[in-house]
Amino acid sequence: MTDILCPTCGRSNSDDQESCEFCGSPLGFDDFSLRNDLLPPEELDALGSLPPVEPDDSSRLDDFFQSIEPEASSLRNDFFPPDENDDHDSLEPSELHDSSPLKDFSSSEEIGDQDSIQPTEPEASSLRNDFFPPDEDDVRDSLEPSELHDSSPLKDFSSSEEIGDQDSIQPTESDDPSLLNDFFSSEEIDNQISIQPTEPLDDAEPDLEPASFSEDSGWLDMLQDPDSTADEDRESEVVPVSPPLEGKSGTDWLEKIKRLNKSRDEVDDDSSFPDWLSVTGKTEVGQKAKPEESDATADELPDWLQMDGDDEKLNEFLQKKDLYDSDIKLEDSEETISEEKIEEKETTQISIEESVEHKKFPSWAADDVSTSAKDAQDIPEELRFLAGVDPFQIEEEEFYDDLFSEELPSWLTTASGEEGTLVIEDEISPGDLPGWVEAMRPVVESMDSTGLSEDEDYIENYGPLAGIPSVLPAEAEFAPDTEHAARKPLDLTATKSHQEYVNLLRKLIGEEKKVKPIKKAAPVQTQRILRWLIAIILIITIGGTIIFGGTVDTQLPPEGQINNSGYGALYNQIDELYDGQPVLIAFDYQPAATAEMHIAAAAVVDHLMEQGTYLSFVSTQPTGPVLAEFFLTSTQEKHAYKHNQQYINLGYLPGESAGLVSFMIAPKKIIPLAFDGSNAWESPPLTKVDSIGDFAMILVITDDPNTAKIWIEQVGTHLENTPLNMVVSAQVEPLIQPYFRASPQLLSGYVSGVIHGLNYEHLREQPNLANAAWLPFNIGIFITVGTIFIGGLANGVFSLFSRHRAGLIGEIK
Amino acid sequence: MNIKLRAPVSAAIAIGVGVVVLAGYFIPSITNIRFALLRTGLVLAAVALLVGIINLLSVHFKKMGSDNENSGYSLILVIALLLTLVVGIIDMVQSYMLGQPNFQMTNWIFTYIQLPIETSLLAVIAVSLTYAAASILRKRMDLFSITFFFVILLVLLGSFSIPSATLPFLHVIRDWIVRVPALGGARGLLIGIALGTITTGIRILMGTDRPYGD
Amino acid sequence: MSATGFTGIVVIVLFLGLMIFFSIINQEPKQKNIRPIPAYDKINQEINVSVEDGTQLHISLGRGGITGPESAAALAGLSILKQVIEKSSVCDYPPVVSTGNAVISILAQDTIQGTSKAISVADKGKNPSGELVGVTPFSYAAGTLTTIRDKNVSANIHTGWFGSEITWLTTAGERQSTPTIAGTAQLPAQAVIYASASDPLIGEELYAGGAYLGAGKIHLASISAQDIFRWIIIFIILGSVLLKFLGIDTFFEYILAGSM
Repeated sequence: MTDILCPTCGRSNSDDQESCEFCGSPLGFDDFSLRNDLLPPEELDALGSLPPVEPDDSSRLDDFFQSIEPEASSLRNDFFPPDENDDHDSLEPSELHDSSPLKDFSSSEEIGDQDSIQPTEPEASSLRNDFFPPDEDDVRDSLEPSELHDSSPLKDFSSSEEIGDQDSIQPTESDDPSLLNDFFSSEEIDNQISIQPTEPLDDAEPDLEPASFSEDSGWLDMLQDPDSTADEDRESEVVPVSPPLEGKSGTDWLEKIKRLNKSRDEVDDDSSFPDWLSVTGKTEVGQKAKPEESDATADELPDWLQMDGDDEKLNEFLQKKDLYDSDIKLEDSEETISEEKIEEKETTQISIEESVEHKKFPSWAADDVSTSAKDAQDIPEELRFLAGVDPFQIEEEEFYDDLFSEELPSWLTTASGEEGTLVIEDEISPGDLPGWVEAMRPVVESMDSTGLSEDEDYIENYGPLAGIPSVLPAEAEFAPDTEHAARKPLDLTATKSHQEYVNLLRKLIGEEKKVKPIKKAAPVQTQRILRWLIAIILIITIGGTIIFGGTVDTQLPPEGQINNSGYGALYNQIDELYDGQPVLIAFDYQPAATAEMHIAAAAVVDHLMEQGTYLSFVSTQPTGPVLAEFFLTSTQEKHAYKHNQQYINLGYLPGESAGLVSFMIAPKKIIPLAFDGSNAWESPPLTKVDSIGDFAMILVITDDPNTAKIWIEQVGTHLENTPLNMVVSAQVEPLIQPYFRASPQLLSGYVSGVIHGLNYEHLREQPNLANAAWLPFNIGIFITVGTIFIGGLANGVFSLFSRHRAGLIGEIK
Repeated sequence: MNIKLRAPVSAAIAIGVGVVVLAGYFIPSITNIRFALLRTGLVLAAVALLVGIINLLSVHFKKMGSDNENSGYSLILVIALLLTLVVGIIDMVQSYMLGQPNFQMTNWIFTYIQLPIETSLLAVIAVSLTYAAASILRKRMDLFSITFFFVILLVLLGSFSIPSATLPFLHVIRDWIVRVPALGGARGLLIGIALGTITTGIRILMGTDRPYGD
Repeated sequence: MSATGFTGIVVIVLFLGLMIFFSIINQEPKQKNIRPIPAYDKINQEINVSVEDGTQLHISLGRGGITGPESAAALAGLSILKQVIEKSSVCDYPPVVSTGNAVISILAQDTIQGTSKAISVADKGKNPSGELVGVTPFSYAAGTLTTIRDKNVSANIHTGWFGSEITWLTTAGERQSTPTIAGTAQLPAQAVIYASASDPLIGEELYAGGAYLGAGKIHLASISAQDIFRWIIIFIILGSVLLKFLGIDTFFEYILAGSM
């Protein structure tokens, strides 16, 4: 004996009553199959899967419940009264697995059709994991078709058609064990098991076309896998099932209503019909099916199913944003709202009936009369002991009130009402939408303050964020329609040249994808060999010449050339100096240039010493003072000049050109002490020196053209009667020569390198270092020229060959 | 003590000193101010050398402590620097005590360590320059490089002056190259460098370039 | 005041006026108006490479001080250093800086700290290091070789005052297969650079680094002022030759005698 709940007031009535004893409303359409016929599966989903709006994990689910319930588990309590919740919680997923009665509940061939369960499950494992946390896998797996073939209890629990219709249930069951437990207490499960064999299993339409309910499945479809929905959409495009304009409106359920009305008594009298299913069914009948008996109109829709102002705005917004096919929606709505309109469209009804016949409903939900008897016989032996137990035997009136009057949010009703609200209409008492439901409705206007809301090109179609614009899509919106592509070959007339272009483009794209390692130019080994070869040749030849070679008899240049040269001018100036005259010598060369500078300067300084001048050494280089001492000891040892007697080493003059300028102005202030710390200016020749112009001659020995320039430009321009002369490296000569040849002369004379040093020695007729170094110097030049010439030609030929080869490769390419 | 001058103050000091020294070069009446600033600059430059040496020491001390593969070289550098410093101080003390210059140890280090090393390095430069001249056509085969290559050969051959093997016209060519094209080119480069130097100095004086920090 | 002093003042004032003038009229300086210098393009390119490869640049500022004519080259090197630090602030490794002069070493460290502070390089470990490698040309060159041979150095930029010893640095870069951008104000070293560096900076190109690396419009104005003066000098030289050819050179000889 089962009770029938009044869809209007929700109170239970005995099943033999035709009208509610409390409110007088008719109690027809209490059979579940009818309800399923009247309600598309997604409508059932909308009711049954209310909790898994946030199906990520249990925590999120809990959060969801907390967010939507002002008090903890209020909604759960609404569905299941507190006394039942305890039982629900006691149901563990493992119990579902291990319940052997469930295993044998369904036949294997029924399970074979469970592919329809797939669309509700995300294909990607990650997404699936999001929906089903690991601790919920047991439950989830028990619902998957592949697992259902195994020992999963729910595998046997539902037939293929049933599971195919359990799109709405599956997330509910699989979201969270707690939720599952909430829905199915152990006792109720037992009741289900005991009752379900009595359910008509075979009458559920096995050829359900998902497209029939995928046109606009509302927010629940948004929760589904976009791919699956896309597939459904494609199917709906290929097979236009539901377009009302084509006379295939979704009114076939009306026919079924009529048919089932006739057999309602049979169904009610069927003692094998499970009460819990009737209860559950009544839950939905209470929403949708029951009012079908009456002439439901849109005006009589309860508030929770009617679109309030906000929902209408949302609807308008969604239409505006092409969120769904507005034409179809509107007409569907019209049909569902106006029964008269529906009845006028018989053709449409027929087509919808056909489409609904293809729908698959779960056997436990599909209360088809024609299969009840057969199903009763199909109860496995293992489950027979469960017969008589009523799962979901909910007697509390508040449950139904809460469930169907107020607790369902308007956004849910909006979504579900588009297809299934036709049968709800006036029988349901209107209720006010709770504030917390108001709060959780999808918000049309983005609250994003970041400015992203301005980009409303994309509106989320799926999931709890449905209707919110500017949401980054989790997946690509547009799946490649390979099916259509295969059906519609491109009518392109590609010529041979076009094909070549295509191939070229493919080749280019393919090459772009290839990772090209950056080729780092490897050091050329042959060049390293060349470097070593040059070093060896120079060392051997020059070293051999120094060790084993002698001197070369050289000739003095022509007299005209000498008079026009820098060394000739310098020679004449020194030759005019006399004993005791102060001469300033600047040792401004690097230690590395010692060899060349000593060769060039030895004869000059020797000449100065022979003239008996008093030498003052200064240096703008830190190593200059030591170099001066070294120069004296290494080249002028024969003169035995003594410090503070014949010469004085003033030491290091810091500040480079600035220091030089300061020294030029006031040498005694800048360098008061000598290199050894003695008073530099006490020597008799220097007592009269107050400025640099008081020296008889200034001789700068440097290898740096910049230093030479500094001396000329900073000092030479301020000298009046003091000649400025230089001994420089050969590399400096081109830069100082203009100063020597200028008029007036800024440079009085100079000796440049080994060549001028040798000439100076010739002038003095005293061979010195330059004469000794002349042969190795020339041998070195000769070898260097030969090496550069050969190496340069070889590299030139190699370079030309490389260019030629590169050009050939380029032509080939 | 950590003294930090704010950017405007340091910039004003730098610009002011620069302007005075520059003006003193052209205006004789402020030569004394310029001279005083130059003397101060000399002292600072000498101190900067000491600071640089300390920086050199600190850097190589850090390299010694790390896992740097060149830490051995840093160790040698630090030892050589400290040894030379100690030897120099000893020589100075001896000279002061004896009343006459005595830099034997310093001269020994310079003569037998630094001088051969640096002279050898210059010799290596000769090899490197020879190699660079020989390989220039491999790097850049253009008109300028070819000209560069043959001018090198002509100038070197012009310097070759063993009487029995000397070609007289090579000396003439060398002298012409040195006096005319090389000098003209050098002048042009120097003029460009001078212009660049002037603009760099003016930018410093304007404060738009502040190498002394911000 | 001597003729030289007067000429110097006139030149400086003219330069100053031209630089200010060009910096005012060129409110939106367009770098495309300046001739391309491959070496600076290479510097920009190598900065990008170092950012992508996680390598670092080596900048050597030479051994020039600030108290001589070589100071301009050293300061130009510092300007380039500043720009490179700013541009490579996102590199995993900051540039490494080596100097051969104590004063330049201090200025380099000051530039590094100031620039790093300006671009908010919070991680002091990412600040470039500026160190005095050696105080003599060859000790500086020898000390710099170890930095060039560092495997993490992707390019070497030698801008400042160098002598012939720069051939060590350029050939070392070549042996490491790393590009070498080199520029100096010393003429013999320029010849060496031309022969051995992959991307040489010849003559006054060294001083144009700020303009080519985006240091500001005053640098572009400097180039414009230099061009103006270059043309003035060209006309003076040609005019002098013409006057000499015509025999009217006594006047200029008198001026030169007075100034020089």
